[in-house]
Amino acid sequence: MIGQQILNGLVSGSTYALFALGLTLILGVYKILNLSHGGVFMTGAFIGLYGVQAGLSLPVAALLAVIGSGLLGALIELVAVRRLRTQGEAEFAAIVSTIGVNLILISIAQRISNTQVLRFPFGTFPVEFYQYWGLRISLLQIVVVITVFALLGFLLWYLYYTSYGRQVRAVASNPRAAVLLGVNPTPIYFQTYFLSGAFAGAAGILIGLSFNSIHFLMGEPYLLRAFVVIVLGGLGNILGTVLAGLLLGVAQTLTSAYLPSSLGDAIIFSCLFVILLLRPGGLFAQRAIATGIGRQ
Amino acid sequence: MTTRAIAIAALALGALAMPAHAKDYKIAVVQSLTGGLSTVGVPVTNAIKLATDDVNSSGMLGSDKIVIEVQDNASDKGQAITLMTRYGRDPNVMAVIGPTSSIDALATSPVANELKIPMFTTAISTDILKPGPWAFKGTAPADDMMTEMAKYTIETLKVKSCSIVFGRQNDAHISWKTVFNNYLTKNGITLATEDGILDNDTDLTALATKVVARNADCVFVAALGPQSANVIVQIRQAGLPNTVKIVGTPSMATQAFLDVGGKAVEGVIFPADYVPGGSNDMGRKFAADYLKRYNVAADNYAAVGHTMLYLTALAIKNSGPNPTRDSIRQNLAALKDAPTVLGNGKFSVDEARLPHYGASMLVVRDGKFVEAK
Repeated sequence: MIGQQILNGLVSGSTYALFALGLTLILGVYKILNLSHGGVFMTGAFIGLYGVQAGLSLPVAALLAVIGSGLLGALIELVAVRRLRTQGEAEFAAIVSTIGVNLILISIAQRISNTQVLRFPFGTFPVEFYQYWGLRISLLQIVVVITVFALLGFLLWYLYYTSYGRQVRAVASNPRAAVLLGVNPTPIYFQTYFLSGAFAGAAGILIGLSFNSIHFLMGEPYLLRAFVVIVLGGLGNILGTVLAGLLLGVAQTLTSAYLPSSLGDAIIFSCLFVILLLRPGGLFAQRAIATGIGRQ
Repeated sequence: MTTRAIAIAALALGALAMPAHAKDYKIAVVQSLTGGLSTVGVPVTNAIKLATDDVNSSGMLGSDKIVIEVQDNASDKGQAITLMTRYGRDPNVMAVIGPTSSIDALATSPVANELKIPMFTTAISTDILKPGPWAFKGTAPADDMMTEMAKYTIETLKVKSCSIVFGRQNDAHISWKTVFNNYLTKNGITLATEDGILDNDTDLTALATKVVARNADCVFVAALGPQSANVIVQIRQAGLPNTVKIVGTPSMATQAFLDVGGKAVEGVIFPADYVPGGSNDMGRKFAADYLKRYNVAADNYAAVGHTMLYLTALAIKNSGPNPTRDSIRQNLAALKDAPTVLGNGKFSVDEARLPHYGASMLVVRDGKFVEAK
């Protein structure tokens, strides 16, 4: 059973990493903890679901969800963060304003769904299982893992091999110096929040499909775990986030499998405190130099 | 002087000739309309609104009317206490329907008793009755339902071992699980695993693998309806053989359970205090009206909400022309074979103020709930 549970943990960890990527992007670039990320993630799942229910194919609905969530992310930057940033109040005040946005999104989704737990129609994604060396894995789980690594690759390419990415890193490093060098920060903020929202939307679709459940509160447990992931991964460290997500997934799965379930979170958070005592910058803090986008 | 006497006499005669003023009986509805328990509070409230309109339009109280004031305690017991205090101190409020959960109701029951206002709640815990005579339950005690389920599991399904999955945040699920477990262990059935889950857990793959690996011949699931379905979907996907019996709780008697579970929940057996679609004329009318008004099927919680409002109205009616909080309390405690959409259609309250209305054993067959034989 342990091999199967480790595999389960890696898949679960991939979903945590997928969720946390967008969160860590904003944190790394702007030092803002965007607490509306769970709401955007949930919105992506809802857009995808209603798209499929309206007759769209899954890829089209997923694309719609990714774009819709991306635009929502950009809108949040415009409405709830930009004004605070221009006044130099963003780091703390944005926590409150994004909590407010999250509550608004949850309330709207609750109203639309009439508090029901929803799911994608049966047959939306083929239910196929494969057995290798006694391990059981579904096609959807394979897609989730591949998607996480594809998005990770895309994000690293975007940040390190494109002119936009250089501008993002310039703004992240020193916004005033970036402006003096001719970088217009407004489209940079728009792009970053769009990307973060789009990642959340992709996560919403895949997690909604994987775990058979779309609900107005679906972002909350992921948001809590994402905090652990981004702290362990080294704040703003993209590669560290993915590794920490996988680690958390495996740890959580093994505690669920072999220890009383009520102890799972207590053990995870106890380990987090121990790790932070030993390595205050997170497990992958040194790697931040290579792949981090935040201010070092 | 004579003119004044005539005027007074005319006024007095006029007053006598006028029909008596129709009265409004104000009932406060305190439910979790947002937050984690809104999946329960919203259908309860929807059904209360529907039942209020039914009572008023049917003339059950003559020309008098029930007026409800709905408040959201946001799944928070602090807010529930505040609202209970507010309505307890408002002499115009005759009763409070709510709060939604045992956690909230355990907090508000002492307040309701102190302020002497009838409190009628969906809470499962019988401890809410302990603070005094003003608290009432709209849901049958866990013993009624789960002893029947446990007996059926042993005697009809003839299982030898069982894995248990339960929602550990919800008092109802813990109570149901405890009664079921105790009955099984007393009768020599092995408990292969026992795992608690949180209400918003969706990734249950680790749990599913563990349950399958234990090779029990029964799985008992006590969680909210859609989540129960999700547990079953994921344990089936983890490779649970079709020969393993899956049994559950009244939470499964919801359309959402069928919608989320699909083919995976075929053959699942559970006790229900409400048969979706209704099991009597009152229940069938309720199911049809609810579907028409809200565009979703009424579930277990909605049925309990409907029952609580209807029985409160009945207690007001039985109180005579001048109902008081105390007369409503006494008539709620005296309910016997009152009509309900729940169970066998007859709601009675015993000396300990525990409600009883019977239960049906249901099974999912071809995507529908049918009575299990």
